[in-house]
Amino acid sequence: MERREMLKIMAASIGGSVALPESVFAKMGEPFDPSELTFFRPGQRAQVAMIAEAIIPKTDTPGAIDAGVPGWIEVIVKDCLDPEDQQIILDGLSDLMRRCQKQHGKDIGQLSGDEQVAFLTKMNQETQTEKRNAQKAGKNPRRTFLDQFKELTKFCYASSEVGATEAFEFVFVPGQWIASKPLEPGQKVWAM
Amino acid sequence: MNLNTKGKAEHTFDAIVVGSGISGGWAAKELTEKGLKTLVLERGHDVKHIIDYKTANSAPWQLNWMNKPSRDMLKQQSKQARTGYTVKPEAGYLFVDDEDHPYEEVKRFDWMRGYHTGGRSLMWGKQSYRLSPLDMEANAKDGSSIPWPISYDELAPWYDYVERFAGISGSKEGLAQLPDGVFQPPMDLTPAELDLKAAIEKKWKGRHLIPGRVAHLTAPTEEQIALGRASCQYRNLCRRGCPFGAYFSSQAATLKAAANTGKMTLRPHSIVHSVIYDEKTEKAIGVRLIDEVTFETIEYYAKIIFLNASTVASTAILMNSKSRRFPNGMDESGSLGGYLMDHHLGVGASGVLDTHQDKIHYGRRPNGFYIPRFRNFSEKAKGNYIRGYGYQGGGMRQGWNRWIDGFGAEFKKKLTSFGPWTIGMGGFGECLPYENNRISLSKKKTDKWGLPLVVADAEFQENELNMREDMMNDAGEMLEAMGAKNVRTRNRKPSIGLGIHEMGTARMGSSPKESVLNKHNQVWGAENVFCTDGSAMVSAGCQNPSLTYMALTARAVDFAVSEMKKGNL
Repeated sequence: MERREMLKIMAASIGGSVALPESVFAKMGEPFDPSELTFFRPGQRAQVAMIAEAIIPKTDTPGAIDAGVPGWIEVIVKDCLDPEDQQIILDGLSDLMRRCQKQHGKDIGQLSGDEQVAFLTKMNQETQTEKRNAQKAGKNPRRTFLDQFKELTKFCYASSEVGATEAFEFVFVPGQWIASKPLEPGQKVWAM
Repeated sequence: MNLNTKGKAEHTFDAIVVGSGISGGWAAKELTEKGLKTLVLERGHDVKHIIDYKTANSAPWQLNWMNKPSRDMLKQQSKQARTGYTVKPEAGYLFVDDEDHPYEEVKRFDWMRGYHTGGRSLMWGKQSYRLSPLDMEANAKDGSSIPWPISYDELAPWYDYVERFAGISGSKEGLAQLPDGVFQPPMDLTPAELDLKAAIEKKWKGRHLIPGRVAHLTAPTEEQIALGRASCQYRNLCRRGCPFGAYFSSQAATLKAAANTGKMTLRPHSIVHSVIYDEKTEKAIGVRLIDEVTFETIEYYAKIIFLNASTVASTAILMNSKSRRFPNGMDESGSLGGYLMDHHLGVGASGVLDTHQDKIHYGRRPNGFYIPRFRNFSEKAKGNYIRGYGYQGGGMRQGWNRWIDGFGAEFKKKLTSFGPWTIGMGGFGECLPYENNRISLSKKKTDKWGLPLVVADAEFQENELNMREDMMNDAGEMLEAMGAKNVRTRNRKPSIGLGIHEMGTARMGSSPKESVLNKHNQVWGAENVFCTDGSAMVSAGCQNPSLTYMALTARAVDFAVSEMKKGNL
């Protein structure tokens, strides 16, 4: 539904003649200002972008970087994660860089797409094993860096304007409920 | 406090309603439509319909942290956050700040509150079911507590009445344990849900799966359209406030109808301290409130007072209403504060389907399916307990928000393609009324308005805990019966309050010796004071209770006004 049509219904429901203030559409949070990103050091920030893009690369639809995912990750890590998980992210960034340098002699962003997937798959297997070993030793480890980072990347991508509207089908006001309809070829997943 | 005659006249109304949530809105509508000049007191700030739903039209990227709660929010609202879903940027501001609104917990008590016009009618789950004769006769039959002083048949016309106005979407099923009502068209079940329905109804005689009954318009009446309410648009962003007025809230429905009469005065920021009782006339004459902002103490007067502050809050007001006649608050039975109930949840099952891969759904249905109670009704309990439970659930096609292995282009392709259908359900179990599940007022601690803090001392007991094994296993067996894969059952330790269905603490009854309210919801000994929110509940059933509060309220107002006209109040 178009915004204009929605405004019309909404205006009708508060009494027709009342002009709806633009504040009805006020945003709770303005999109963050990239110059205000303060959590990561510049090197870490670049690392975040490379890993996010390796997880969700540009294909026929935009990748994580074009969708602004790295900035959102930084804001969420800074304000929403508790200190233990923040540390997992920070440690994980260094750990990933070390592993990549050791195996390939370069940053993850410099690897080909296939190499990135192979590298992340291997690192994931290794860190999952480390986690299981810690559990066997009676510890209660949190989710691994890659699990956390991947979920954040996915969440921010699907919630971003570019991701939601270009890689997914974004229908803010569906207007009806259809409990069953055929899945047509090329139908993208609902963004929300 | 001294008021001159004019001042007193300005503070005098025909009726006062304390609270503007689901039941308070109904009291306001019914009283004003019967011609009474009515003052509605809301303890929190005003939230105007649509205009103040500040996140209602925000896309995910327009919300702070893309709608993830920040550490600061979780700290500020540490108790409200216990549900795991209430404290988020989209609507967290509609739940209270726990630092400003503390309470004491002898045992863990999760008290979810919304202090603003409309109360929790803005954020409620909207599931709307009638209690049945089975529920309302249970106390009398099994003797676990006092009987309801009214029968289902006495309440039934009032259910009809409130359903017609509120707008309930649902299907007629002819089930004795879940009476039909006045419904607008139901929301269709998905293919996964229809398969589950077929499997259950084939294997177990007496078990049924039906579309959830929910307070959303699907075919609005002329009356609803005239109020500015439109059909559900299937956004499922309800808890931000609905810009279409499609679900029942005080703002969209009852308060709007009350305002249309020209008889309602709504006063926000009005924290009611107590009911003022006059020893000579043996009646209440008004209420004393504290202005939330100015901290001033102010009195208002009326012939009829409706307490609809919510369970616990209405009880706290009654406890604080002390007089020579009522030295311990407005109750002579000792039952005030006792018999706190909630539904116990956190138990159920989920599974994955490998069928219907060629089908999807469109729209976001703010609803699911419902499985009415069958234990200790059509089937005996396996475990050692009385009463029973119902389930709410959904069978939906998975989208991006599922776990997907891998990285890179292949991962992205899966992410943007549909996953399998999954199906799950969670139980809502009845909680018995126990005298020792109590709330009281702190003798030492007060809040910043000087009101004594509420102290909760309650927990689920043997009967509830004994029920949960069946609740979990039945859910798992039903999913297995339909051929679901990877069926997982769960049974987390339940916590009282988390159902956000707190009930009891000022119960109705047939005698002032054992109850706070009579069969018309009048306070025994102060008959012009009515309480018709969840406090009045005598037993809990296993159904979501708000519809019952609506019916009790409309019924009590009808009685109150007719008594007033006869000169009896």
